[in-house]
Amino acid sequence: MPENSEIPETRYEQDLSTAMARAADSFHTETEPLIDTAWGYGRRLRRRRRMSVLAGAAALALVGVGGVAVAGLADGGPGRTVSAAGAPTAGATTAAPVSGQQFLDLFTGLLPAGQIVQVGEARGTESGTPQVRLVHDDGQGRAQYLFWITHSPSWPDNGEGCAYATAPDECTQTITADGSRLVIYKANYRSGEPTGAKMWSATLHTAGGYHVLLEEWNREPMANGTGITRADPPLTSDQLAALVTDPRWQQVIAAIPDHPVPLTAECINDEATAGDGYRITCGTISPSDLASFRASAEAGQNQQGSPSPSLPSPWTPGPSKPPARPGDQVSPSATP
Amino acid sequence: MARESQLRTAKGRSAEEDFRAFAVARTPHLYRTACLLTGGDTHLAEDLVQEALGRIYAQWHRTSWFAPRARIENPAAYAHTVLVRAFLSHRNRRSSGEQPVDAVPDGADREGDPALRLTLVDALARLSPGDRAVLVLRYWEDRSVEETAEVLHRSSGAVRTRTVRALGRIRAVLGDSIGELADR
Repeated sequence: MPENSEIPETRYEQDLSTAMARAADSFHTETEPLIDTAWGYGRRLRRRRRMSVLAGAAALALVGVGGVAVAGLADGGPGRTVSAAGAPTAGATTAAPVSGQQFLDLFTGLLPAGQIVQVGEARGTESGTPQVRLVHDDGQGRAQYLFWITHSPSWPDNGEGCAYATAPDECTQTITADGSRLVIYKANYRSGEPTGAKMWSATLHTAGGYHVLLEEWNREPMANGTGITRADPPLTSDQLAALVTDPRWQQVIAAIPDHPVPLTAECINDEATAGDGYRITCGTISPSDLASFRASAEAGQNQQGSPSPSLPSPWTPGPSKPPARPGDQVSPSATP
Repeated sequence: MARESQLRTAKGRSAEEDFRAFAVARTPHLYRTACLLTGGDTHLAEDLVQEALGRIYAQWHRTSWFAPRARIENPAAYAHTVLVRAFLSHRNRRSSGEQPVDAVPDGADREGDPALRLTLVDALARLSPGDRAVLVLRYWEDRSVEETAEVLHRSSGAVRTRTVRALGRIRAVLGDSIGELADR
């Protein structure tokens, strides 16, 4: 048998793909019993969700009578449920949830001046992984960003820092004063990508097991077949580092449920977005929804009759925020 | 609730009928994906498919007046995303972490290419769930790095790294016999 290295990696990947397809094709089962069982399970899930929605609506009505603002109302835009009802199902946390709209505004508030071209996703803390994916233009060309905060200690990240970085990639790893690990990774051109394509990222691994990750491209990778839009991604390494270590993310981390299991707990304001495909949908906002949402906000016609969905600036957390978890204290830093 | 089930789509079918048509069409592929993910554990694969389909059903053409326009734009891809996450969530719930299964359980069916299946699936079963998920998404589902990263909630860089490592591990198990298996 030849040594492994004698088969080029690309050929090996093709062979693996072929072999997997053939192996997979050998699995057959009776589908009807599976579908019937799934149908019953789905009915139960939907019933539970309806009850959660009704409970949330009742809670909102009480809040409305009392005239107290509720963080998370921004999710109550046209065509979606209200996030306040998601808290009971999302796991144990006493911090007010951060809605997709709030998380989006927190993030875009740290971007250079410019224009949001498209929001592919804006998900709040109910899902366990608040994240935004958007295209932004600072006047020098469009760039896609992906930003999220997640807690996933079960996925070992040993060696995922700079251990595997090879030229032409550049990688630096820094241990911050509080023991967090900051990795700046500049992935430069790879075969299979448009000429000149670059993806730069910053990841903060907190001692508490949270990952704050920002990726930026000099193109729009989710838009198939497009070339680069600018020579480099917009943010420098220092700007990337400043953004992921911004102290405002402590508030978001505190609002992430301790046991965020979007696949085993019900997300009541989940919805697929239009555009470039599927999205896991807890609290997502499609571009068209965002546009109409903002338009209605400007007109003071929010569907839920709630206060304006735009966030106060600076955003203040809910009244019952717990202290940040040990190890999640990050150094204050300048806005890029 | 009756209102919901009676709503008709543009094609004149009820949401219930639409869901069943979708499930009938997609379940075989979902099941095969699940079998690869579970390293040949067909019982677990069936559980995962049921969970994924149930979650899809719960969101199918939702018509609550809180969310009148909610719908799943790409249910096929969404179903596979739910399936993969259910698989990884299942592993976490069992606190089995990254422990690979020890042996390949008997399949419910032995059609097709049993030798290839045993060889490849046995190799998959020796990998960690995370490695399996990356390989299945990249080389069976044909997802891009970015798409895989989104399904797994990992960075693109982490997926690239994980893919290289997983490829190396399965190559170490299979050797270069994968080419012979693929060419037969």
